Amino acid sequence: MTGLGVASPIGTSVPTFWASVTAGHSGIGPIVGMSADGFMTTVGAQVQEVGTPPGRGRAAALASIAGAEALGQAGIDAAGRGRVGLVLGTTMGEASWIESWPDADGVLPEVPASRQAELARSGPAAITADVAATLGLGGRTLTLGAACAGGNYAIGRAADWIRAGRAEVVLACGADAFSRTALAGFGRLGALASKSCRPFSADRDGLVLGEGAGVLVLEAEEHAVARGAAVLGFVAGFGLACDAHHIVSPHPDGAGMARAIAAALREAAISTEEVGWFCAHGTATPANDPAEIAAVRAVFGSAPRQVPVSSVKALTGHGLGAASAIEAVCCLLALRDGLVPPTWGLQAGDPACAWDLVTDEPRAGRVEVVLNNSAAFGGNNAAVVFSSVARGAA
Amino acid sequence: MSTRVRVLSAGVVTGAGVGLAELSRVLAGTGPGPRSLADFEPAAHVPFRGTRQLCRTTQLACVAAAEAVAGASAAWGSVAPERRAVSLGTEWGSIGPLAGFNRVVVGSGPQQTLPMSFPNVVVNVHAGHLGIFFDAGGPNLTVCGPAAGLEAVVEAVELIELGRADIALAGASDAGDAPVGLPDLGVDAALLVLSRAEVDGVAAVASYRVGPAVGAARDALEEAELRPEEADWWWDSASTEQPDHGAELRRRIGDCRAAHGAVLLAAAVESVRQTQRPALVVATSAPAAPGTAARAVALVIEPV
Repeated sequence: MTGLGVASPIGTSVPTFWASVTAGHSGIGPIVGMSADGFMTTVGAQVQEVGTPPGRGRAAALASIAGAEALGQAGIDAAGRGRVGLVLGTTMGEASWIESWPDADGVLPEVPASRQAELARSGPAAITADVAATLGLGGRTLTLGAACAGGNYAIGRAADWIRAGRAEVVLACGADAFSRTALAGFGRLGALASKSCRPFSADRDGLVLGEGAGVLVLEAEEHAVARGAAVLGFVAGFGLACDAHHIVSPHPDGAGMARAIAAALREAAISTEEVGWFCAHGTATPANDPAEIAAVRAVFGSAPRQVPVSSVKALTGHGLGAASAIEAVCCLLALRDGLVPPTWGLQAGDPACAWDLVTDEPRAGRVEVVLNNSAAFGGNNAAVVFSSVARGAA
Repeated sequence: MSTRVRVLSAGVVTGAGVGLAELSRVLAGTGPGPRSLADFEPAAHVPFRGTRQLCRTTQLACVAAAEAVAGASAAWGSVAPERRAVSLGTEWGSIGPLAGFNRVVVGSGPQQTLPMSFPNVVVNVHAGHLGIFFDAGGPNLTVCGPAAGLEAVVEAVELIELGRADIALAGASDAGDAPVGLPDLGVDAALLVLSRAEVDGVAAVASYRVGPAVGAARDALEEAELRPEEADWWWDSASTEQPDHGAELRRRIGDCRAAHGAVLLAAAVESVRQTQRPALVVATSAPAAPGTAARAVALVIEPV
């Protein structure tokens, strides 16, 4: 990686974002921009510094901000973007279009021809096209619908392209906008927290819906060195697995997650005891957290020490497709600073989640390998191993 | 040249009807021609229960996948579930459920929505259902966009080449069933079973390229060491320099949207089986922005 960018509820630049992560500044607050009447919560995690430009999707706007920052850090100016590719992971496209559609009487009238062009801009691939056009990227693009694991999917496949020699420089992006659709849907599934996001806590009551984007610039090490770019870290391994169990709930034993995690470590040729931080999916839903710790036990259980685990969603909320990309930015910064962020606000842990959970304050120490975990509807699991020096698949 | 990935079988649901045989009959001019899928009942075509409550995109995918897996049952069954991948393309896969869900949110309130109607608005659940129904615990991908059908196949090829899976269900499904009077979005599905080269199969993937349309096709042929006239073209373009079976398919069964590339590939695989000639399959999408080139996914298959 040679560039990082982020647009999150706790900062729209990497420095401000990392300052919030290490200081425990939360982006969770009352929902703005829409009425929360009738929904199952009143809180969200929104990027309040960024408005939605008229006629443009919000996810694309957020991703473009993060992408511009990442390209800037990588030192890739407009003239050098003609062959830069883009892999983008997301959930359902620009839901804002369909949400602006119903009229005041609450019906969905037929779409007149004058607005059908908007429909064409509402699908997931339209986000990718918008971002590529905005940033002037001329290389291969790919849109992956991978919901809450979208960021990790994008990072892993972008790394695959480079490994296979099919691309020189690729932006990996996860992005999603706050939506009424997701707020209603997660609420009806009983997955929304009433006030705050408390991963691994005994009294956790669900996720806080968020939004944002995270972008990483990936290129082969020799390519980065040849153009004089600073290398921030490496994608050492990538693992994918499907629970093939339930369309919404994770496997209670974390079976699919464990397979993805083990596959990523295997590809990285990294032993479990070398992992300095397990950046958890950690949504704070009743189902996710114990399943994820079960997966951690399955993979890391025989290691001589427990890998430190924490979730930054206590601050950022759950940015869906953006989540694991934003958390990947955290992983690279943890490698840079030797600092493991805690799960802020975690007091009484759930016995079902008993493990070395980092709490209260960042934990300083040598961190050379981190694992970024993610899971999604459809039983989709994706894990990425980052290292400070080239390892495994890097 | 890549000959590491084989195509073993295919299954389709198109305007020609259900199944590859129906598609072949229509293409050969011996079938009844395009028909409506409005009364299509998936439960009659799949060997498992639980499809009735699923959304249309998932149902179509299940039927096409069931035919594909049945056509490669020995190979599919011989691979451990965690080494089986799914790669599904879709352009409008969740537009219908998304519009329907919002109709209830706005008209009756969020608390009147059915909880299990929400997952259908998330575009990757269709592939997730395939993972459940076909016990595929390996990588599970959803590719979005106008050329997603063939792009999903390319993703599967790469997953197999990189050793992330040994066998894959790959293709596309799209059901333009939005209840808001949208223009015709197409209703089709095509899934293929791809495998490592240890299994013979019907055809081998010789090469593939993703990029500007003409360049992608030219480069794919070049990598496959074929002159343009040495392959049958399945492109769906009005201006190709060779006779185009893809355009003929569109004339006979209509626009398949995201599934189109996968439908073309399914038809091309059947053609390779019959003629033993290589085939170039190309799916294109419109320029992403003014002044940019149309993108294409080009894939060359050859007889085994």
